[in-house]
Amino acid sequence: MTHTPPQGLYVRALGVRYGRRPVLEHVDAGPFPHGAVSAVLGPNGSGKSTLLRAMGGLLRATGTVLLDGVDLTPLPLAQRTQHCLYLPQALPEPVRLSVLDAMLAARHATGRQNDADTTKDIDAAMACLHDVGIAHLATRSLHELSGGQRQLAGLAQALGRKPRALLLDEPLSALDPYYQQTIMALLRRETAQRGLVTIMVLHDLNMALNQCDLACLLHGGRILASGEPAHVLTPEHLRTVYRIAARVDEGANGQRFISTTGVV
Amino acid sequence: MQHHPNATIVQTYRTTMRRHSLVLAGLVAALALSVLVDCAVGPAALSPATLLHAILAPSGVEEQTRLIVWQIRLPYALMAACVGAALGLAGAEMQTILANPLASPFTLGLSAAGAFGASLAIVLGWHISHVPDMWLTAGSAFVCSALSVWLLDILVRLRRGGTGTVILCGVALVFSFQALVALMQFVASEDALQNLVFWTLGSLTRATWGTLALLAGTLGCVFPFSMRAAWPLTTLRMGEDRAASLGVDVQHLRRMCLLRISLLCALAVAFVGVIGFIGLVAPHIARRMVGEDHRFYLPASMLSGAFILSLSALVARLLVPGVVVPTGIVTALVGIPFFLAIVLRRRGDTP
Repeated sequence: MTHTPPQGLYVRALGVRYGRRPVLEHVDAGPFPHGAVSAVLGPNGSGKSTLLRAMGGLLRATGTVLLDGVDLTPLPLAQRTQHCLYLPQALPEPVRLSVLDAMLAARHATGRQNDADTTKDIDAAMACLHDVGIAHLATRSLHELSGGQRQLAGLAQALGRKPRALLLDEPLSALDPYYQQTIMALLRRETAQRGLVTIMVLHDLNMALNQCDLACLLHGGRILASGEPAHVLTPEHLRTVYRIAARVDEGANGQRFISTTGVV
Repeated sequence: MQHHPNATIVQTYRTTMRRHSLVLAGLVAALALSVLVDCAVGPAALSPATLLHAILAPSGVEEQTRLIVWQIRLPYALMAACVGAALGLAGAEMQTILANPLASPFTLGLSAAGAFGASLAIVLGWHISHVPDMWLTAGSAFVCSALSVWLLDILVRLRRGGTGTVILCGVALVFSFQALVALMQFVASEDALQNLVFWTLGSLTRATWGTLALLAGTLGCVFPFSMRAAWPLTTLRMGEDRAASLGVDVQHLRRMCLLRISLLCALAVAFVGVIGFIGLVAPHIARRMVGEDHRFYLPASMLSGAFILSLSALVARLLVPGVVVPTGIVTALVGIPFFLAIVLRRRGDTP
């Protein structure tokens, strides 16, 4: 009898402390399946970023993080990011570096590949820039780009590393509505095409409700609810977690929206 | 030939690489020229032909010319280039790992710490048999500046501070060490005081083949390691978190950089005293010329540093005929306008 390992990303008994203060205790989350965009929701200070950073290996944590049945926690950071890549909330700094150079630097950051060949490297980088729609900016310097364009460049860097799981920390927070929609659409498309496990921290509840496949609600360092966004983002949960009075309505086009009527 | 979809981009990329390489080659040429001029100019003026002859075939020229070139001029000129290179490279790495355009060995207290170390040895009159006093002073300066780097690192790590904290801690170190040096001056005897003041002014006339070989050797050993870290350092420029997210071990990278920086700066300070602004200005010049790709930025900063100090050394000998003005004074005077220009140009543009 063959045993197939469970697919997707799992978190088991994850714990993180800052000094003596526990931020996350015994968090079990998942499975976050391949090809789906999952939202991690929760109020400020609920441990969303900490959870993602711990999953990405940027914070020391107890417990296990399993990707397709393989525990990632014992791997060194350089190897771990080959499988599961965390993208920080801060945009790439506006430095004097062309977008293409930034792509190549990301590719070689953990040691130059043995089969390194400039033309091949550039082809791979350009393919990623095409995917995120900024191929025309390849030779422009990061310090000349807008925040949205730099976010796209950062995303292209991540995709260029060909991870199987992508963890994004508030990828939409610093952006205007145009780039919010662009990046969300882009993430949905690439997630489906590449079969990525995509998990993102979001503050925009309506975005999570309508454009994510799964949602996971954090409350006081624990997961209160997870599943389909419509089942997670209920008025009761919003009242408990965010301390707001809210109702969920269905619009004429089939979209749901949350309207807040006040605080509790 | 098959048409390649990214042919234009590849072409543009290669052109940029070539242009940056040309900039480096230009810097090497300028440096070589300035070192030669540095050797030629002086009380006993040497023609270019005599100079080249004396350097390439020392046995074929007069005894006196050989002595001037090999014992006085060459060590002085080469020391200027080496110290400039060391400070330029150290400054470049420092600005990257501390993510601060104001970071330099001078602004963060390394030089002041070195001066304190030297003052200890000079004022307290330390002697160890069989060790020349000059080496003892240099050694003490080295230990103090190396310690100040680690102190800075610890302070910053304790506070987990951003770039502002780094600079503030550095400024605190500068003032503390300056106060300590002043204290040493206060208690010093007249002879020791004169020695100490002369030491802190920063002078290349102390250069010998021994110190030159040690510094050049260290530079030669350190530089390949710097270049091996070029890609991760480039990634680090885009943000510490981003570098870490791409798999760069930032802690390790930073520690290795600090080790290189403390070696280079501490040696430079130990051998020639306090020479400011090179480590601050050279990285900015390099950034303007070749951008932030550290494969070019690091060597460009190193070469710019060497070139500026070499020029300053030349000016130092021409300024007052017959007297070599301490180079530290000249670099500070030349450096301040540079520094202001950079600070004032910042608006709407990253330095």
